[in-house]
Amino acid sequence: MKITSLIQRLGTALVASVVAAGALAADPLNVTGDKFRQLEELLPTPNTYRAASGAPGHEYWQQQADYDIRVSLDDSKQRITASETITYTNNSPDTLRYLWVQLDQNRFKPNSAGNLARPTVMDPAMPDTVSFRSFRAEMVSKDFKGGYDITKVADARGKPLQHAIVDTGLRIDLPQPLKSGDKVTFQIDWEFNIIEQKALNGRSGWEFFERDGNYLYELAQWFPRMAAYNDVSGWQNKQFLGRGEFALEFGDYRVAIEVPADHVVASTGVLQNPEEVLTRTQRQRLEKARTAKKPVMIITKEEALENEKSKSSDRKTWVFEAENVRDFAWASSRKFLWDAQGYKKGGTDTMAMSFYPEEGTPLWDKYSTEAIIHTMEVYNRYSFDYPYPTSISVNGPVGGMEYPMITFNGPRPEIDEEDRSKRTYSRRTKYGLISVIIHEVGHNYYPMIINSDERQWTWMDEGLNTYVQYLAEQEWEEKYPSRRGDARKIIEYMKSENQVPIMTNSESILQFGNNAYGKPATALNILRESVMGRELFDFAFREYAQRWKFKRPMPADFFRTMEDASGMDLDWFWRGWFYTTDNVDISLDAVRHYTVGTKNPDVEGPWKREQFEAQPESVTPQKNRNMSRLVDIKPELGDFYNEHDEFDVSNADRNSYQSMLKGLEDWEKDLLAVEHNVYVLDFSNIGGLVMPLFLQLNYEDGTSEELRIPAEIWARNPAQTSKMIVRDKGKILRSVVLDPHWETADVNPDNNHYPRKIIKSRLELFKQEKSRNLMKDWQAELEKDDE
Amino acid sequence: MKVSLRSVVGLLLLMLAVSVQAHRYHFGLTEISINERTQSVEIVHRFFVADIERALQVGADKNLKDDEVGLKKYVDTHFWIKGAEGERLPLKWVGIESDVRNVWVYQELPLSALPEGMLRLRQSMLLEIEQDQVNTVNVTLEGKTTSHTLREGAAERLIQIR
Repeated sequence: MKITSLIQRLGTALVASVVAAGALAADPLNVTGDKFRQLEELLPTPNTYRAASGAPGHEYWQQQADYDIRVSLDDSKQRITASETITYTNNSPDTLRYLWVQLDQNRFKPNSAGNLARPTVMDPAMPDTVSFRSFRAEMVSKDFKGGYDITKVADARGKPLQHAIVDTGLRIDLPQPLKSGDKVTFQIDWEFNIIEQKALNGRSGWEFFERDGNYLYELAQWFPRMAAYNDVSGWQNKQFLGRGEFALEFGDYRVAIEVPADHVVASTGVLQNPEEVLTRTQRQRLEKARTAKKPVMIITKEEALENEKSKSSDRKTWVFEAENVRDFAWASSRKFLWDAQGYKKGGTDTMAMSFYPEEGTPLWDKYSTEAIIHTMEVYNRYSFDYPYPTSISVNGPVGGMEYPMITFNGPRPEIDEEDRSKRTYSRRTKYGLISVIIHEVGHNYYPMIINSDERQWTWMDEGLNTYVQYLAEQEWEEKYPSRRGDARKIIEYMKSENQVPIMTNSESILQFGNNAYGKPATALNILRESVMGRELFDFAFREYAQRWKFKRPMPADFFRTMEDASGMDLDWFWRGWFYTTDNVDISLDAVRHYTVGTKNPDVEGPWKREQFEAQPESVTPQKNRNMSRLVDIKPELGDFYNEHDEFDVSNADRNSYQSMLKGLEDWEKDLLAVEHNVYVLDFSNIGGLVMPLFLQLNYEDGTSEELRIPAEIWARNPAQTSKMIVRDKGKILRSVVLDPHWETADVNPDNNHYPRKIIKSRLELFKQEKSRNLMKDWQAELEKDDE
Repeated sequence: MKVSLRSVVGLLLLMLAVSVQAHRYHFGLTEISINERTQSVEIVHRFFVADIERALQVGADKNLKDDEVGLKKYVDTHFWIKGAEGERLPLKWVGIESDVRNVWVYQELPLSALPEGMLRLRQSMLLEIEQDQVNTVNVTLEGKTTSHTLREGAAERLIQIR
């Protein structure tokens, strides 16, 4: 241990701990490097629509779009034919001369901006080759006639309206400008070919089951819907390029879905005509499910297997109504099993339901509906009570996608085609399914109800939702294998250079998952656990949800609400984590040990001698030890100075000490008598992000103590800082650990120890484990009944 | 331009209707660093198990650990480092490890076998499987990390390890 040999004397020397500010001379006010500077110019000026507190302003407004839709599904051509009447209410203070409608399906037109704008990357090493896959995609695109055929755009009385189609947008020119507070009603008819999801990889589409010749449809972005118009961006007129998802208005829906008579339809909203489309038994089972303690089968496996054999040529129409939703999606197939369970708690009164083909058993019947209810149970606590009457999880081709009241989720067990009753699923598939359901059902809160603009900011729904998903997963079971949330899981990404800030438009994000899901979720978890504390964070986070449910928040509204409700200035945190790509790498450079100098010559003299004598003897005197010296031979050459050395105390010293004492105030004398240990810890900030300092102090006496220092310690100098710690006489520091619980995502643990500790690399640790023959299994196989 | 379809490890000319599926993304990470204590160049790859299993066509009922040989072959095909003369550096296979989502692949090279100067690196794992796969290669030298972003069509890079 080197600490004790670093002992210095205190006295006036403490002045040395003041940090030199010379390095900042070129920028005397330290504006550019000020990591605590308020977000002034980065955030929009508050106004009557959006208040400085982060709450909706007293003149907050949003548009309303109500839909009445009739749609028919052609199972033989995988094609949709539909017509809609949209009633649009202009609650803005502005007069609108035209309306923008979104035509998201047009992304699948071969000449869509999404396809044309995709950059081609040439490999200089192999300029004349093309992969099979991309060549196939090229061929498929030629054959597939995707996108909307708009067959009618007319006013309420059927009179054609002038309009223009701009890629994924449709502009309707109004004969009369729409004044503030007025409504306009118009009609659109359309048709389109549904995409094969697995071939074109969209957020909806069909899946074909060869064994029984049936299709399963998941329909989304299937109707022309109003583009968002708001106080921040005006019309959201960014084209749909494929990544930035949706910006939508709330409204009421009535949707009549005509499908083959033996199809079962799952949909946003509440079924209005169960007597016409469900059997009496199914309706009775649904009633029973409402108060059941576990999921009740509405359509059993046997019934579904029987149903998928028929190919009815009759048609049935399912009618659904939904209030105050921002979108509408549905699924349809002969193959569906269906289970349901009611969930009623607080303000929530809903039916959790799952629809899946028999290929989804035995995983879906066991976990899907339970996962939906678990999600609401947890999310309600951190946001608000789930307000919708249903919450559905559908298994089909889409890997994971969310819509109001309905989600599409992909994972299925593995089926042995030789013996279809033999089914297994891996640990990964099991947790993959539970996680994706929690995630997608969680999207009902963010952004289906807290209606952030996904086209612009992916993190506002994905990041916040992934954070609450982490909380829900950890409440599912102990040691739930969450992919994101824990600080240590983001380290590799944080130290990579090829990053863009979280505050980047969706289309420009590099490393989508880490940037828009992982990093914001982790940042929020760190904010909760390590910066704000659970109580403050949870109150503020819930306040944000309460303020913005059924409204459209922007990033500043989130940042401001979190500060407003917690009373904490968090601008430094938003600035560092959301506006830069800095990482956390704080180094504990040195620990200096001091004791207080008494100034008493009778104490200090012997102490100084002791220090001097403790130094190793130089080699020359060592080797000269037995040398005969002149002064020894001729003692007459000695005098006063041979008797006394510099450490001897003279009466003059004592007198001067006494006169100094007389000049001191009592409190100053008391301080000189202090026998405490004084430590000064020096830190430098290598990664750039300022973070609180979490310290573990280990003492010679075997005790240990933890100290948490707020991030504001970096306020005056974000590059270097020091902290003095005063401890009792007996408390001698043995070692200090910075961030002992790995809670700040510090990318470099090497410099977190004083004295330095050898940190084994991941590869070294692996080799060690392997040599002990403790290597874990690749992944343990899970039997059907595994608990 | 003549387009040859022979090469499996090919060039992507145009992606049709590609989307990052709403909640799936494809990301691989290779970390290269020098361990002075053990005088070794350490290489750690991390990928998602699901993606690797698709690449190797291993079913969920199989234990991929049993197919370490297959994975080694796959890694050797897609990841290599070459010296200035075009010679492949003899990376030593250390082993694999996994949890429910990730698989880690460990390789190393004695520092003494590391040639001077610029090296050519290829990391094309999974680029043929996922259209939006992004592989990041981090080279950490004396605490400073340099990142390389590799994608389909741009899977090779000149790097410096010391």
